[in-house]
Amino acid sequence: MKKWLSHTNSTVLSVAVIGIFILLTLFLNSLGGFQLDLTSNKQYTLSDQSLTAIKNVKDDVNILVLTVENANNTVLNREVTDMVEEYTKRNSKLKIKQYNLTQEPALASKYGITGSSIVLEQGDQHKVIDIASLFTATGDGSDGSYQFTGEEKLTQALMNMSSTEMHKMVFLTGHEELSLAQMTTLQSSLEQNNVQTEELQLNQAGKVPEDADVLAIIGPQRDLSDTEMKAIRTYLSNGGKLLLSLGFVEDMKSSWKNIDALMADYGVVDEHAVMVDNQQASTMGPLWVVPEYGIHAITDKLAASQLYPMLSLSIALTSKEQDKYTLSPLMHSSNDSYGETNIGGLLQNETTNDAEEDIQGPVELGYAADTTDGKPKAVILGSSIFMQDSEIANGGNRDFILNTVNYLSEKENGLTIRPRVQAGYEMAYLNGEQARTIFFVAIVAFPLIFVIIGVLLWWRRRRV
Amino acid sequence: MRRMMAVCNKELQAYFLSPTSYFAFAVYVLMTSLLFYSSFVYYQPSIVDYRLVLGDTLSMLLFVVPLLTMRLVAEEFRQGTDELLLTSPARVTEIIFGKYLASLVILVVLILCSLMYPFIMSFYGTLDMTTVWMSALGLFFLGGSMMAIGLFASTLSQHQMVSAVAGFIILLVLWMLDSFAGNTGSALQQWLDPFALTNRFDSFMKGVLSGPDILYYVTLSGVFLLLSIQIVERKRWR
Repeated sequence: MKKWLSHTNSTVLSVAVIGIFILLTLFLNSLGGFQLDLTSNKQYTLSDQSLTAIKNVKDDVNILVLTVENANNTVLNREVTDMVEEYTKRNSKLKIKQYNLTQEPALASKYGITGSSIVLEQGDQHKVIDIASLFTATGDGSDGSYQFTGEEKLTQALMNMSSTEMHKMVFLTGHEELSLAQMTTLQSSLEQNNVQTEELQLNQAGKVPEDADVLAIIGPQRDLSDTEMKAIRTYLSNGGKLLLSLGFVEDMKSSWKNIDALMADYGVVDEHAVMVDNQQASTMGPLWVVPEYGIHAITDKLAASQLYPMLSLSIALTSKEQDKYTLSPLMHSSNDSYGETNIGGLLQNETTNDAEEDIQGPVELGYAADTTDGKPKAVILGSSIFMQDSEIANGGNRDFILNTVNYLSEKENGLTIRPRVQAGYEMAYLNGEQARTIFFVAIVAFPLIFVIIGVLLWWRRRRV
Repeated sequence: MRRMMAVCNKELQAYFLSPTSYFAFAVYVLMTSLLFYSSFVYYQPSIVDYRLVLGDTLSMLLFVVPLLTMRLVAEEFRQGTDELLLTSPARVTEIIFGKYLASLVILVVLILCSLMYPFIMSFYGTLDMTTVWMSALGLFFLGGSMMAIGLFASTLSQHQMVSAVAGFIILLVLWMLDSFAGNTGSALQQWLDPFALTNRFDSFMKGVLSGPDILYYVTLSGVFLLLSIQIVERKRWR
């Protein structure tokens, strides 16, 4: 009886312990983020925005990581997979599936992808993130270090996947503005943000579409006609919003009557002067500037993350008193810069700071105009080139313009997450002699030490 | 505690005075060195990243742990010394924990051996030392739970080889648990994934100290130690 009782106790205890282990493991597994990230750049610590986006996923989302495996991208592919795993740890609705792209031609054709990609799939809809676009070399790329923007892109895609909020942005054409064809990166970034883009030839259309959230005029080279001006003002007075970004034109002072008037509606004055900063001449030239930010919802997060745009050929702006809108300076150049009003001289590379004629630094390069009740109305910038494909990847250019559009279109879920800078993985080129040394040390000598000790022990025992 | 240390010392003497242990170490080191050589030297240029090497060499634990733990209790049964142990003042818990502690010391030796590879790599580039030390810590937790499973297997039979095979099978099942359901993301796979031995090791290799992973290894060790105690207790009642 005692034996039977003891065995029963033992069995019950064993089953109970196994059961507790299973339940505890499943429970602890649900606490995916209960961890301490000891990596130097907190590589696996997700931002609050990402954590909120992950928490908000209510329907199953499959995250397919389709990679092309070769020796050159092993570490980069692993970085992507590691990141996706951090997401899937935190919500069981997110499921990671990994595939070798070369072995899955059907999947590649289904999603229309040719290179390593992350595909988010929910029901019938899917979003594709090109893995190559997540990595950017830092500096001149010589040390192999790179920026990884995976978290920002994945979180944004996740938020857009669950969002039904769609916005429309129209880009004015007909005045030699930057066309969407010159801003394909910006266009695709906007579309990933659920912002639909289209070009507008106002002379043909007659009016700005009423469903457009934002009218963008990017880098016009010619002035607006009076008819266009009227249509634009009608659109804006009916609740439309404006993104006006100036482009450098030699005769802007004399020819920008309507563009200047449009700015003046919001209290912004175009000084027809080009920002020159000789302090920075050694790095990027006097017509380039990495501006300081003013205090505004568009720039606050960017300033905290030290993500600054790199502007060139920027037009100096100032403001004047008016009572319809609250004007906030968005960015300005250094104290040592100035706004050159002598454009003819500037084009001949002859520029000096004339205290009487020129705009004294710091030079304002952008303003946000909000209505008195705090709603966004217009953003006026002194530079446009930073949005084109060749420039948008520099510094915080992309983040700045996306934040601006998100702000104007009153998108609540627009975000900027600081990219992580990773030290480049180090490659070792071993020569024959080094390979032989490693072979001798690791494969011959190291195991031999244990064999010798074993033989000596065996020999001693044998003699005893 | 004193009795537990006495059992541990006895086991350590058995390990370190036995030529078989050294031959087992030699085989382990030879196999891991071959894998290290093939991943770091064979394909050029090599990437100076310990994670890439460790991923390959990790599976060697599957073979060496059952070999190192098979004799822990089985040998006592075979030689009949279990009766002496069970009638001694030491409690079964102390005996099992003493033997387990000895196996952890052996595990530390294995980990020190495996640190030779990042040491070699450090001559050819700068290693991320956080991931190296975290991987060593992860190896300790992973190996510790594997040793507990090996110890449990050793209580199942008086034949060392039977214990080794049983230990290997249990470890293999837990090792492969995440791949049984394939890469389908099915409900079954989601249930099995948290119990897979190697999945839990990934965080350590990344340089992340994950609470659920550490607790998994600790509780897994606890479960198998408790099961070992129960089985030895049953023999006492027999």
